[in-house]
Amino acid sequence: MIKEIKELIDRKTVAQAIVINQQVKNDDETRDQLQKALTSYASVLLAMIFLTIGSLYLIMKNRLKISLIILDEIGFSKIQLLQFSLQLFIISIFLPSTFGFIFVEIFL
Amino acid sequence: MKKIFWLVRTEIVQSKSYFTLIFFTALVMGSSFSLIKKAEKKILEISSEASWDADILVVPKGITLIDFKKEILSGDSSALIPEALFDTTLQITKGAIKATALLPFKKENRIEVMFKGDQDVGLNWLRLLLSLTKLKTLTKQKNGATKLLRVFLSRLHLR
Repeated sequence: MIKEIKELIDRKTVAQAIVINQQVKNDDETRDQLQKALTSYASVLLAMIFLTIGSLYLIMKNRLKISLIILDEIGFSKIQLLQFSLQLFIISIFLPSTFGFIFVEIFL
Repeated sequence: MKKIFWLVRTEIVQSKSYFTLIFFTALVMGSSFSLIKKAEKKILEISSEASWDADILVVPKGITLIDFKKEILSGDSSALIPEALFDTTLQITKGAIKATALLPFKKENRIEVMFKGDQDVGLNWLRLLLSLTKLKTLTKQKNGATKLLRVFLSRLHLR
């Protein structure tokens, strides 16, 4: 009977009938597929990003180590060395990632 | 502090290419987090968090079930079927069904929602942006019809 009524209403140009159970089922299937796709995309992307940052850090590690040793030798305290590393981290990673996050939130 | 900032600046200038790469990678990482968050939010919107006590819904063409749910919850009634269409649908079905409807209506330049059931004489007016609790209470009161079939929005329960 529902099917008949749906067909009857759908024949009209201005209105449509949605059979709720069917629609809910379709929506759930679509949501599951999209969620799977998004999870895969996010995993691959984040893995690539962390690999890139990790590799860059490994390349930089020795140079940073030398810089810290020199700063230590010329009398910088532990706190100052920590401040130096922290500022380097904030400027190179924290600020750009926050900027990217906010930019997308506002403009996209 | 100034001295440390100067040292950081020197460090960055001396390893320009590495820091530029890190900068852009971090930028992409931040944007990706935001994009993923947005996409997740959109996907959740299409899920059926609502359970419906209706078998069939009649709305103007081009409106989906998700649009309808969103609009009824936000109080924007543009997706609801006009009164004339409600009456026509009843005529089409030749009284074979018990119908209940929420219809948009303008009163003193303000959009209001009209609750109309075939068992109820007269109209009950609801204010726009009706709360879900209020909607539930109201629809419970109007639930005199059998569960045989309800056209339009009969009752909406959200988990």
